[in-house]
Amino acid sequence: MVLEVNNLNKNFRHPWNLQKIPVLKDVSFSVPEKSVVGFLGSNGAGKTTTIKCILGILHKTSGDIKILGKDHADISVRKHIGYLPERPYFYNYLTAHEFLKFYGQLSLGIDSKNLENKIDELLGLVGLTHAKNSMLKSFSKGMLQRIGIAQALIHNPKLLILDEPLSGLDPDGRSQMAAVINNARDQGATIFFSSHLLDDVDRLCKDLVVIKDGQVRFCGPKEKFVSRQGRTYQLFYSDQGKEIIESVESLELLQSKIDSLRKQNKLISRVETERISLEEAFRELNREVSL
Amino acid sequence: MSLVAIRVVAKNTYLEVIRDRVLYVLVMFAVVFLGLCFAIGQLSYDEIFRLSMSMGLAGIHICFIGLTIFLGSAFFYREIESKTIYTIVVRPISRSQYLLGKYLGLLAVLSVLLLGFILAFTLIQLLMGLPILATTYSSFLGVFLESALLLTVTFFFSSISKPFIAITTTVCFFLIGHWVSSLDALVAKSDSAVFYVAGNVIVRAFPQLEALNWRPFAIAKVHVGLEDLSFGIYLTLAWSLLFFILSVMIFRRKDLV
Repeated sequence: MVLEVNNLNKNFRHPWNLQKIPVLKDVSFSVPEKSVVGFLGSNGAGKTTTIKCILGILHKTSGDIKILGKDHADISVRKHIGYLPERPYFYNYLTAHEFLKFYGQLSLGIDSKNLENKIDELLGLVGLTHAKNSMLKSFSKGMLQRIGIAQALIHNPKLLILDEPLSGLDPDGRSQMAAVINNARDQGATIFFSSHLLDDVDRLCKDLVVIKDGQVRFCGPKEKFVSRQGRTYQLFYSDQGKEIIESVESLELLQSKIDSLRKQNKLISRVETERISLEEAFRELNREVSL
Repeated sequence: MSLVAIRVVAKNTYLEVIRDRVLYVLVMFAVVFLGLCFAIGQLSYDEIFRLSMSMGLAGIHICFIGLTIFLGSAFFYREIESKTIYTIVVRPISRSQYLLGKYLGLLAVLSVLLLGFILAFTLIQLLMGLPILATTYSSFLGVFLESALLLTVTFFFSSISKPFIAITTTVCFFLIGHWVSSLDALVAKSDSAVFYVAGNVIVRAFPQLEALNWRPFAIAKVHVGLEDLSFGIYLTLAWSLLFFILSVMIFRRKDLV
């Protein structure tokens, strides 16, 4: 596993009465090598807090976090991590080239011979070659997001952690960002990214971690999540030569319906699970948890 | 790798700050203030040199310390509040190395600014027909040492509070630091045991910043003595180290929310 999070807890303190506010409660999940894992949750569910704990930006209250088999606090492991924060703010008075050089030197050392080539390659990949010598203060939000992902990729990280990389981008920007993420995956990076844009998650990920109220509600393949939440079954059977389609709401009802049809000697031709969208599955999970 | 990381952060800090227009607006005001200080010195009927030098050097001192406190607290505000720090602390660099890199970068900016102030000071002296003396320039080293010390104090207060409070407390620290020498003299003469104990606690708890005030040497046209110079450097190093270590201890435990 590239990333393993076990029983992660994080409490904040109320600023006035110093009362404990638990934000993450026994969060556990793992991210397999070379996978693209979407980290889903509503606003305030604990996505960014989890990511910040993984990266050591916030100190965990308890729990165990391992990156590439080492404790996450081990500085040597950070050579292999690329990170793009949500709503990135960068140094306004650096040019795109200086900015990438700064991050490259921080991760690779000052004498990396390939750094200049890598900078040019990444600027090309994110479509910012024309802005190489422009200061970041003149960049639009989309351009900042693109230079942000370039800084995350400058040292060829093994684990790429992206916090809402697609939010606030126009459709073209989102497509371009998705292409960059796919490219990183093709290069062998493991990608863990949070998003509330479910269409994009659906498009990019095979695995999901779903968090709500600071607790992990699901961890595993996307298809399993969707089928688990997909409660509608369609039952196809013949009655006096006519094909009849009946919708059944739950697995229990489906079983009893099949039993009843068998007793009536009806010929059941097939049962189909109606595939709901990721968005519907996510809403269904939220509804279930609220009940 | 660690030295490289410190150097990279220091260079980046220098570039970012030195290109910031806000800095130049502040420097412009500082130069105008400096000019005014000299102008006030000209109001004297006699001892124009003495009063002009006194006012001019005090002007540089106040401006430079003001800029130091502003830059130190602005760094924390910018890096943490605007979250630029997030992408740096996840790199292979420890928080103490990062803080040291920032400190050295800001010190480099302050060195360039001090050179600018010295240049402006010299030009004003030339324009006013005042003599250019080598003894004047040793007092600037005292200003620089004090600024290096106060930068770590700003780091310390910024790491535990918001920028406005950090600026206010550092200014108070600066004022008390200059006042403790007088307090020390008063404590020595006092008959009250309570005042003696309380006074001594305050005197020991703050650096004697007046020990870095070498303006009287410049005004008297004499060089700073070796003893004063050594004590000044020792005072700066010891207190800077103390506040830097305290800042690092707090910063390492800090949640960067």
